[in-house]
Amino acid sequence: MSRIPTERIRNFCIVAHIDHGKSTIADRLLEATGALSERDQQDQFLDNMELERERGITIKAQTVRLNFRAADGEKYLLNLIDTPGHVDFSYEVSRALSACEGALLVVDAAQGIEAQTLANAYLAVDANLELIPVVNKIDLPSADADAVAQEIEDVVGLDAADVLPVSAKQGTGIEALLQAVVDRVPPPMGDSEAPTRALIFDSWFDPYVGVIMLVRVVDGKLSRRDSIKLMIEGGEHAITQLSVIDPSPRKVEELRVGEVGMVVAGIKTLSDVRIGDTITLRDNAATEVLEGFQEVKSMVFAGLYPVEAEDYEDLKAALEKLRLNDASFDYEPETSAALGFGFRCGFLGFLHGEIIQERLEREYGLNLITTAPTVRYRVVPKDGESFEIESPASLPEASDISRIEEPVIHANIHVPSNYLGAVIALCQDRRGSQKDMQVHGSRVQVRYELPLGEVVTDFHDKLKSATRGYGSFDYELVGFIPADLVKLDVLVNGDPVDALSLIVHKDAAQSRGSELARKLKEFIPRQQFPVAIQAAVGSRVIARTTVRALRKNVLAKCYGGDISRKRKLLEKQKAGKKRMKMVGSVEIPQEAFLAALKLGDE
Amino acid sequence: MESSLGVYVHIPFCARVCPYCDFAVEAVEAPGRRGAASGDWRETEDRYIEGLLAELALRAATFSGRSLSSIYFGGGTPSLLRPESLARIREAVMAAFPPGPARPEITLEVNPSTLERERLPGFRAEAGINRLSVGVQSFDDSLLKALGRAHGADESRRTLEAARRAGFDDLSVDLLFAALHQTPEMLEADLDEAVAFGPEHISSYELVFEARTPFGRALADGRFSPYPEEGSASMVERIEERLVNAGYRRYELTNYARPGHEAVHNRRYWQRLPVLGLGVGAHSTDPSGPGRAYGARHGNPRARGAWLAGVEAGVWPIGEEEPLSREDAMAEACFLALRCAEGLDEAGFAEEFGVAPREPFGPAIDRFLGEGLLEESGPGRLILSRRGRMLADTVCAEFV
Repeated sequence: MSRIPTERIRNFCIVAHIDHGKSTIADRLLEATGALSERDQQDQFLDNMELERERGITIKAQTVRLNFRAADGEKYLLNLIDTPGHVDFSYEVSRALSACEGALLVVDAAQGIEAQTLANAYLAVDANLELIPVVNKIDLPSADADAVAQEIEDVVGLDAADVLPVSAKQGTGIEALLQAVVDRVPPPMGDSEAPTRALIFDSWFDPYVGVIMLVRVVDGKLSRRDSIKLMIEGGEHAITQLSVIDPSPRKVEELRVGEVGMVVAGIKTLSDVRIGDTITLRDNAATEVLEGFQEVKSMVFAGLYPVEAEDYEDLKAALEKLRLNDASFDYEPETSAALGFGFRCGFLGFLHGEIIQERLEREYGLNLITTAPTVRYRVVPKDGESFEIESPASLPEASDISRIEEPVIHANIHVPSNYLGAVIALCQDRRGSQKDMQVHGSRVQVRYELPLGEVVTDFHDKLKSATRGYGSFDYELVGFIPADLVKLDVLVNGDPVDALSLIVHKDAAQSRGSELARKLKEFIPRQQFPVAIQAAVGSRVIARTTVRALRKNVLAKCYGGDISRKRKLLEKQKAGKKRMKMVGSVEIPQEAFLAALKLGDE
Repeated sequence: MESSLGVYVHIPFCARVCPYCDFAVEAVEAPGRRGAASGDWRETEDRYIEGLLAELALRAATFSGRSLSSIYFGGGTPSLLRPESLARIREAVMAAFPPGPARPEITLEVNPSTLERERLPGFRAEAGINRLSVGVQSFDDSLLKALGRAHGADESRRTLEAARRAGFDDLSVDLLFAALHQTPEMLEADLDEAVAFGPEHISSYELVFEARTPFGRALADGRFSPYPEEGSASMVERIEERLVNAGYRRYELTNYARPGHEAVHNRRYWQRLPVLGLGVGAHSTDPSGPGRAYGARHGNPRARGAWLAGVEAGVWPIGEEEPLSREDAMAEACFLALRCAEGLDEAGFAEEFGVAPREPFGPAIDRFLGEGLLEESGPGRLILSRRGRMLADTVCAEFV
């Protein structure tokens, strides 16, 4: 295959709000360039994990090269770089973006601009990308491509005349899109003679070859027999394999300046490779790392416990395995008096946490109890240095604390103006303070400063239901501020259930405590004896309720055909019990531990 | 070696289907007051009897060599059949499975109605019925009406008296409790009247809202609410207290009998003994056989058309079939035994399964003994305590 010169390489990505059609457009691009015949097309090529398909979001970035013969008759090499599609992965998105020179900004012709459209557009602008605005789904009856193009001009500042109309579903406008990538996206600008620098913008673990790094060569080149050095991490490795994806992996001898490809270098552990690190050569090493590296820190924490104690080792093994594939979460052993042995896990955000939990349950068949997610609080004690806690259980006695600081975010919320009232009410309820409001036609963008702790449980769900799914949001962490926080404990028949403890604002303690007790009452089945549920702050009980004793549990007659039915009912009853945890002498079902997540539903 | 057999014969016809009934039943144009059947019904009855005889012939081999210990005509309303129809079935069953020295128990479920009263002597003399189970349900007219029953309390009284006059000395009465607007006083009156009449056997059932019935749908729609637990629990306790004082023994959770009058046929289910079920929707417990060390349970099709089509073509219409695994059998051995006053005989269990019940179920047994839900009634014999009988399902669920 003849070599395509750097001037005819284009590296680009697609950014969009969830469901605006990113993956479908990617499929059409692959199809139009013959990279993928319709026959072996899965529904959405780039989203290759079952879970991603189900949730409609992409978790691990993929990349694919497309061969396109442009209007000038020349063959161009287009690298389509996929980016993770949701708020918790903004750092990974930013690294993928910086591997590109251009981005398609895809907006749904019926929905218009949403929070993530804007968040991603800003990230792309920050990365100096050429933005090509695209209005997708013009085939929809409710589409209003002109209005959306105007909105793009008003809000993002891109000329409405440059907007490309596309229906990925019907395949219209795809050729024009490819041509626009050639015409508008600049070619890579690296120095092929300089010491090699390549940006790692994704990595994952492959059971056969170990860690695979997805890289963009910025300067110089990588060859198959090179020894490389990871400039920030510091490790040195020998390349064993270089390949490109078009769309199946194909081995190559070298990756030259501007090219994107996969590097295998015998690295066994994913945590030895950091996204955003710079690869250089061991000999003739570069001196300056590429800009933009950040240490990724977990923001949301939750305890994960096996329902049955004997599954602890399985959970541990599953976490180890999962971490091989996803270095973005971490975990450490934790012991709960109520739940036994488990793990405290840290996630990039609450959605990330949900995905990890689901993967553990689905891919590893584990039966888990998850405690209410919490954030990292900074505790300033009366004596000694301040420290951070990631679990309500580690909060010292109130009398020893000088103050507690909580993490605060800036949230960008996009919503049709008729739902604005509901959104403001929700944000006020979560102790938000409004920072800004802008009206764009029938849509409003509001900015709120909110405690992260008020957002991690169900803010997103609440926002969706308050706005019938039309509201969207995006956030960034801005820092820690002092707040009047207390620990809310739950006692069941006098035994504290540490896994149910919450850190809440003092003013909300009474109402949260009553509600938590009430919710628990719904979830805890009646037992042979009465079960008292109490909510307490320190030694002060602020709410109490009782689950009455079960007086009778016996079903009627049991003759011929009833026997099998009865046996199956009893088996079901027993299976339900297996999903419960004994706390003291009280059986508490898994769902009860989620009750804390459902607060505020009434 | 145990080699007895019970035969259950299901008669799916009713003059009117009760709104809480979940059995395989259908309403038929019933015979008139004088017992003069319309031509259609007569034909339906005769065809059904032929079907039962055909099914008996198809199934007899599976149970061959067993001696008959009981026949149970259930329904539906089996007393809609003419005595000679019942006689044909009984004779065919006895020919296929000659009884041993003991007289087989032959039970007929009857509804309190004029027609059946007139037929009682025939049922006894001609059909050979020696035990009646009378669907009294309650002696309260308002409750009977609300339950959609076709009879009033007076008809029940007359039927019971007529049964005695006809010479039946083994009578069972069905009573419902925790039903609709039933109060503790209404229950008390039912118990008073039942005890005063003095049947040999009383079955006491809580009204259950089965999903597929009009009552079940009414519950789902919120037109009915379930009986308050506290109330139904007190009723269970009161029934036991009242009937035990009157000389009955609660020999199974829902059944009371004067000593020696326990239902031979129904006991077979709890003792996991073979039962051949004939007719629409009837269930069988097949004995163990090659490849089925613990037997199997069968349910015939619930639709008369499907069942008839099979038996008339000479093919046994298998509806549901469930071979029992060792685990199933162990579970059933425990929970069925615990439902009975005799309880779980640990040695008997060990003999059958080669392990003592305390091997698989030790922690549960210890826990329930500790909590007072189980008791040891003798060496190696576990029974439900008084509280355990109220929470029988809580206990039994640990043995499956």
